[in-house]
Amino acid sequence: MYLYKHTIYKITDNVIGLNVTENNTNKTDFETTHKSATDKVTQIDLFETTYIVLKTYTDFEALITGEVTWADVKLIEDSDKYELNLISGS
Amino acid sequence: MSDIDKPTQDVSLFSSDGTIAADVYYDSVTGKNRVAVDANITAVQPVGVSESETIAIRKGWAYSVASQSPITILAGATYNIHLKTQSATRIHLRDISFNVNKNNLSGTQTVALYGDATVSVNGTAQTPFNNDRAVTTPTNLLVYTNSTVTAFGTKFYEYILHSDWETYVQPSYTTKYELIMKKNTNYILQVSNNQNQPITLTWFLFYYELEPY
Repeated sequence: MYLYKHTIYKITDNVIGLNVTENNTNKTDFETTHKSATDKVTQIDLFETTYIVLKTYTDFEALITGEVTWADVKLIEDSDKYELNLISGS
Repeated sequence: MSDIDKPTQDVSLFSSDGTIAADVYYDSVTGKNRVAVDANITAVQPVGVSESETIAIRKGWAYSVASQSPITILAGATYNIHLKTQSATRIHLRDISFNVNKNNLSGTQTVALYGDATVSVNGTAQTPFNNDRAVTTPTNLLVYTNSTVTAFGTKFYEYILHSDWETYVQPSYTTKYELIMKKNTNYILQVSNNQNQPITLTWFLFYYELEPY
């Protein structure tokens, strides 16, 4: 199993090493274009051997092929960030 | 001059210009050894032992400075705490502690201490607070985060930060360890996330400051 992840920060003050401009562009795009379609969850626990793969926002978007849709994306929203999660067999 | 009769522990006495100003003499009238203290002495200060730390706190000479909220450090990124000493007092740095969120990531997170660094731009100013909340005397130590460092200077150590319990970089809670910092010098505590995922971190420093000697 693969868990593809990307984090978009809503509050960037205490995030070190972040490209803030790129993050904020992605945040705007996600909120206006994709957020409403995602599946909101509060927690993800892993019970099988799972590879966690961090993706950039662009690469994460590329996983949404049509067979896989934004409705398959599990969204964890905290006060300071969005965590995008997509579980896949490959 | 005044006498000190039957001292219960060793003391060092300094005049206002930093020279020792005490002498033992034999008082032939009483038949006792006495300590004569110079009349110019203005304060008695502890000389950096842990038993005197309580005195330093209660005299209003002790300060704490810490992160105001958890800090996320992305994979491969570094975060620095910049300590800039001045000339009015000597800074005795006692506790340096870090907490990193528990994780099972491969790789390490570390903190390195540098001295005599060159800083081109001071980062975000932090506000140390006096451990005696009734004392309003400002500290002489300037503290910034994420200053722009052009040269790190001398590296004293690099220390692994635990992710499953708090890391005391300076073991002052078990020993009398302290680092007496040089005046007018930039010191950098640099945290490095040498892993491929973010970590979350908080930090805490405790120090006291004394007159130069």
